[in-house]
This record gives sequence, structure tokens and C-alpha cells, in this order.
Amino acid sequence: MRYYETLFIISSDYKQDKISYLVDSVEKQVEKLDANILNTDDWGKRKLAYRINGEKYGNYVLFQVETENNEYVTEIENWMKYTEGILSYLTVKLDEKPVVKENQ
Amino acid sequence: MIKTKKICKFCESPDMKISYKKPKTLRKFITEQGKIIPRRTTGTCAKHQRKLVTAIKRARNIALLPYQYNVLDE
Repeated sequence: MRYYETLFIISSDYKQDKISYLVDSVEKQVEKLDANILNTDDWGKRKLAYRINGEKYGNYVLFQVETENNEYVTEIENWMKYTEGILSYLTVKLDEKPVVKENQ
Repeated sequence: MIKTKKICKFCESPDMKISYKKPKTLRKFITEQGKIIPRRTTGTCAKHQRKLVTAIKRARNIALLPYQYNVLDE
């Protein structure tokens, strides 16, 4: 079993309902790739260190995932690349199993 | 002049973990322009400096830290 975490930025133009819709669609995509979501963490709106597509602010969302799919990283990043509203993304492999938070 | 030996901050306090998700702690290890400070000035040990460098580069990639602070822009 491998553990990954994906951090991505949603455009600041998106309102709360649109953000949760987008997060839901990411969750669906993650499950499609035979991965289990352990934690989701919404960091909320933050100022970006530099402009991305002309935008100054973005909503950060973090996913921690366990999977046995070898192509998980390339596939989820490819999907995010062509999804509207996602400004940037970063997937990192974790050395250990992350602690699962109870309140989700 | 007698040099006092610098001690690695991460070795001193093991609770301090290096992560790209904590830009505030990483901020102390980059210059005003946004460059990574060499370990000869900060005193970080080789092991932790390696981890710091990857963490800073990851943070830059996801816009938590800038590649360069632009004075003229702001």
C-alpha cells in the first residue's frame, strides 16, 4: 500500500457551493482510480505567493490517500490539469501512513 | 575571534518538523529575495538542510512561497 497526499488550489472566483461541488468531483475521481481517501483538509482562502493565471487568491484543499494503483499520481495530475477551476496541484508520496482524523 | 558553534535548529527541538505545508517556518531559511540560505550561515545540519531544500522547492511550486520576492511589484 502506498500513501500520497495531493494539495490543490481552487480559483478564488468560485463560491462555496461551487467549491464543494468541485471537491466532490475530485473525490469521485480519486475513488475511480481505486484509491481510498483517508483525510480531507480544507485550508480555506489564502493569498498566493505569486499570481497564477492572473489570480491573487486561492482556496487550498488537501487530500490524503492510500492506494495500490501504480498510475495514481500521473492519472490524478493529468485529470487536474484539464479540470477547470484548479489553478495548481502538487502530489507527494508519504513515508508513513497518515493519522486518520475522526471528525470529517 | 572565537567562533561559537551554531547548532541545527531541527536537531535542538525534534518537535519542529520540516514540511512544505508550513511556509512560516520555512520563511526563516530564505533570504528577503527568496533565495535559500546556505547552511554555513544558518547552522543547519546536512541531513536537515537536504529536507529543507526539498520542502522549500515544493512550497514554491504550490505558491506557498514565492520563487522571488519582487520589491517593485508591491
